[in-house]
Amino acid sequence: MPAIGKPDSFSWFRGDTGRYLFQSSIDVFNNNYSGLLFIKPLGNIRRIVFITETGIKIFDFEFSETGDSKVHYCLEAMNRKSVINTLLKDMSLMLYNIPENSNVKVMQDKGTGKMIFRLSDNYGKRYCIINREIQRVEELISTGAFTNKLNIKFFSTKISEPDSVILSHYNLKLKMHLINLNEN
Amino acid sequence: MISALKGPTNILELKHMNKLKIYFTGILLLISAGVMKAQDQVKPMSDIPGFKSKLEEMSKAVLSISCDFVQEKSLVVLSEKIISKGVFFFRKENNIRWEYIQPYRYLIIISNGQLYTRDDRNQKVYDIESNRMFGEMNKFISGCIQGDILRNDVDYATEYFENSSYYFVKLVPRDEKMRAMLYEVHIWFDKKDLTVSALKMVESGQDYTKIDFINKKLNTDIPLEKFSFK
Repeated sequence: MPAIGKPDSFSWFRGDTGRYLFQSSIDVFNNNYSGLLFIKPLGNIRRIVFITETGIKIFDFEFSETGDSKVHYCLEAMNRKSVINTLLKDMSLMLYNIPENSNVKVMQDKGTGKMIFRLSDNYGKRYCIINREIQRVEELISTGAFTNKLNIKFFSTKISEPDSVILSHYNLKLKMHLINLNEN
Repeated sequence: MISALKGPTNILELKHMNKLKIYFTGILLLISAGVMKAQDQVKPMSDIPGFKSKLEEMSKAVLSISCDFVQEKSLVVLSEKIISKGVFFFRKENNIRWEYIQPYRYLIIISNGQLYTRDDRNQKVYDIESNRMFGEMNKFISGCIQGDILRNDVDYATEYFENSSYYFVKLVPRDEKMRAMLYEVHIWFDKKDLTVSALKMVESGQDYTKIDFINKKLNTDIPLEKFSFK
């Protein structure tokens, strides 16, 4: 069983990877924003910038592996505390998967043989399903008291980068669909 | 659009801007922003009334424009640039087609009082006329293409420059809220035909979007089908 190591050990967006550009659609509480989502690892931090096709910046967020995040910019139309906090939390999990100070229990799915981390931390309880062959996260499921809250799925035919990412909430009208534009 | 962003009521509208509004704003900014492709030294324009007069003549004479465009989004702090490419069509009155081809296909059409957007998964139609702000935006867009925007001294402080090849106009939004999003707008007009050659929108953090309009063709027959929502 591999060591869990750093928060981005199994992440698709590790510090040693290049930049990513995704065609993106974000549904936030009955508003739909489409455009380009840009993810850039900068050492221990990650920067996510979302712009419309026409170049208008919608948000510019910064994340650190300690779980801190910073809003560099957010379009006034989207700049509501509840929206921002949810986006920051979701994207932090998408980037780092296994935050520091998480209680982690490593399990194995008997049927598929997949490695599963059961996590409990400031973000709540989660299951993180790992593709053992490529050592990358395949699916992340955040659970509530009675129902699942959040699901992040990573799809890829390659080792180095995800082809697409789908992030969806069960109880909130928030969904993101990212399609890799394969610049790397 | 310009006046819409001035008053408190419209600032409130801006706060609740949904995707459609962003599209409009995007188009507005793209059209009002300036690219400095030929950035040789500029000096203050020697004959501003003459420039405006020539621009007005061009506006009357040009019935259609078709061209390619290259859009560069610069994220200065990250030292990154995102390049998009496509084709642009304009046909009087108020028929506009922005067609992005790279990095993926994305289409914006404004025609008959409606705005249409389409990508590989979604298509949407919005009614411009039902919203005063959108109506003004539409007016503004065609005004930019035809140069009428420079008559608007209320919403922008305007400075005029030139070099051997271009007239260069810098527009600074007077409204502070607007400036938080759009710090400065640059428009470069080709001295040969007074068409817009380049646009640049500078944001408050110095990130910018710039668009070069290349391979311009004036007054060619652009079929109306180009502006239909198919």
